[in-house]
Amino acid sequence: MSQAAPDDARDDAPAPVPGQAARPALLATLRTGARAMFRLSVERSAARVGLVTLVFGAVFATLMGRLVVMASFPDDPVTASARRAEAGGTTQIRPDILDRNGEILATDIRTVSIFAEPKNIYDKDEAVELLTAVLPEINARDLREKLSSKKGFVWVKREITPKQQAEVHRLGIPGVGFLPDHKRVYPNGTAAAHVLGFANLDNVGIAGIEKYIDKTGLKDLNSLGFIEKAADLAPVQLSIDLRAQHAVRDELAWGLEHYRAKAAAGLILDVTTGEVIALASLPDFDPNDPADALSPDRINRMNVGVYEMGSTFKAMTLAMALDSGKYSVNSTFDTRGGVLNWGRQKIHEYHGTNRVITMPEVFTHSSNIGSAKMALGIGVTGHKAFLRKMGLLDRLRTELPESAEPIIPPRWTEINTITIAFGHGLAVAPLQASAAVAAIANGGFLMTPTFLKRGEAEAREKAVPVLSPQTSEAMRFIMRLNAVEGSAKKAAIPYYFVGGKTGTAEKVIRGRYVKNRLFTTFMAAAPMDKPKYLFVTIMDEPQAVAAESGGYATAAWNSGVVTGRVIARVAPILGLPPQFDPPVRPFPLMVKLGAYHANQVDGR
Amino acid sequence: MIRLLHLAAIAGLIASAIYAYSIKYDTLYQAEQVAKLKTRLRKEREAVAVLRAEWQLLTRPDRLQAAVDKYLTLEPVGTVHLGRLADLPARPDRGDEIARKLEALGLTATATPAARDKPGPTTSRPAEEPRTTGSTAARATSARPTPVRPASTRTPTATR
Repeated sequence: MSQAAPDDARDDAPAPVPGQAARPALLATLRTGARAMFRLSVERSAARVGLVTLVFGAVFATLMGRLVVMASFPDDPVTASARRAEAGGTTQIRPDILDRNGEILATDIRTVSIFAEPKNIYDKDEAVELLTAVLPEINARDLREKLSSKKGFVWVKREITPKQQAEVHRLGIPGVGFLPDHKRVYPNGTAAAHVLGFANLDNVGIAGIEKYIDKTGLKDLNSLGFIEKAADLAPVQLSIDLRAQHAVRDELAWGLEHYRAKAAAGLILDVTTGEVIALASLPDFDPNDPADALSPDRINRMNVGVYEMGSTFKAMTLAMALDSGKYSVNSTFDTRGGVLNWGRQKIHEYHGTNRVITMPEVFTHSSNIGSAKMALGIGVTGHKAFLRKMGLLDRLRTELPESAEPIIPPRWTEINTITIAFGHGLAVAPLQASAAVAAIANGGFLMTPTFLKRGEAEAREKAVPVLSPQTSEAMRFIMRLNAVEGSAKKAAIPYYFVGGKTGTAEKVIRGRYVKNRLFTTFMAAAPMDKPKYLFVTIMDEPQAVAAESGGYATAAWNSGVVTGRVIARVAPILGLPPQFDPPVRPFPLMVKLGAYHANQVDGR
Repeated sequence: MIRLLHLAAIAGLIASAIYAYSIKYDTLYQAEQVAKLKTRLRKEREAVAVLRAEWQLLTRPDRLQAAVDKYLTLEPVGTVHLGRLADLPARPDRGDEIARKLEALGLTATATPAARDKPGPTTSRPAEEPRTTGSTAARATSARPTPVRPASTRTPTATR
């Protein structure tokens, strides 16, 4: 295309030959016309180039605009899920969940789901008829409705068996296809159900650790498509020991039936690391079939329920008194008369001694008056500050998304301090109370309970020192003494040097404490000279078994018995070494101070 | 000369084209193999996941417990079953077995030195920590036909 072009054209144009009339003339005109068409005339070319630029510019601008629109406005979720389904990855991939020994608690397996594209199905009635013939559990009317909709994609049935898949495939209905799917399975059934929680049909965590995994970023990774196979994800290892978990649940189930209780829950806590070794709450559910998992009856009573812990709270009161320095293990308390009058309130003893008793005796006889006097000696502010330090006045947050706020009296006066001293008037989650008792037992380090496996060093790093080692030793001695001659005898399994405390609280029904509706707790630690595990059992409204206890339904007779069975069964599983010879000088400080019965803690 | 060069160039061209062609198809083939292996790997992984889940399903504690209750006469390990190594009776002295065998065969043991009891394999094990499994109790019962009571596992070792 040069400027010479017009000249060439003019030269090349053959002159019309005379003699040949209209036809050649027409040809010539056509030829010149054609040449003119492809001739680039300088004066007109600017406008043409401009036009071409405009057209191309418009095309590219449209493309770019569309790209920007697609990038900035994501599709609505329905089409997004349909597209994701078409891409093959219908559901999230989740990491395996293992117990502390590497046993599988939850895993993904591959299944197939049937989908349909209603637009591509010609004979809907026939399709419905054939599909319901092969899959009789499908409701024909629902399916017809689904197929009549204008959607591009509907699920016919999720998670079918290979046999069903082969049968549906043989039907050969156009517009019906299969997609690989991930199904979450919990091979152990109910074991650790409350800890694991469950995932829904789309493999999204709904409760428990499953939800925690999603919250820690799995969901984002999955939605961005970074995860293609399960091997991309490191398994999550929990602190739960499956064998101990099963044993606890089994013994609780026995207790629930034997004592005809409404509910029961058990816990094993490693006091040196804050790991939860086992947590069971009955009634529970099967995470493979979580239809009734979210009903209020099946909550995790250790974590989500808040209860008045009864006399187990006296451990807090004694620890507070000892740690303040105002009282020593040899302090005495006058419980003569068996009644403490405070304003219009009367505090009664349950197991009255009617004499002046020492601090260990306050614990072993579960003296309400003794602990009330202790708390009063510390004062309301000190009491509140101590309980806050032990983490009992704030919501305990663990990995489990479910938690509960403690119920604290709105106006905390001296009468509240008196009742809270023996475990009434303040409702806390049992897990929270267990963590506090673990701190008392382990030398004074408060650790937030964890459901993930961790080592002792890591736990110590995060632990908060709340008590002096001396207080801890005194409390261990007192708890051990309680197992030898006090209310915790039922759980004093020989060889393990168990110490513990019972707690019986009357339940509040319509604003009143009711005598025969009890909530019993039992906390035991072993071995008491160097505690490793804390065993907790709570029971809701256990009934007395007359042949055993003669009408008593207090903690020692039910929760205590269950805890004893749990310890005897679980200790060999957890590798707790039995001590055939009693530990040498387990509580040297107590002997030095000449504490009450300081040398009588062996008791075997 | 020029012609020869041309021929060489053409030959080189053809050779390189053939090489490029072959390597391309080889690459395609290898890529296909990789894809196939990946698919197989995925299938194997899925199969392993299913098997692991199934194994866990079959060995889950409540199922095992039900099976044990039904088919075996075992009971959970309790404090009753615990014992120290020192509580076990010593192995009975079986004398010189080889000499007895020889005598039974009508031969006489000549140069055998005085029979020295080697310590049994159980006593050679370090004894500081008692075993917590039921195996020690099982051995105790085999040594004594009477059922083991908690007190009896703690009898002093009179025979040693």
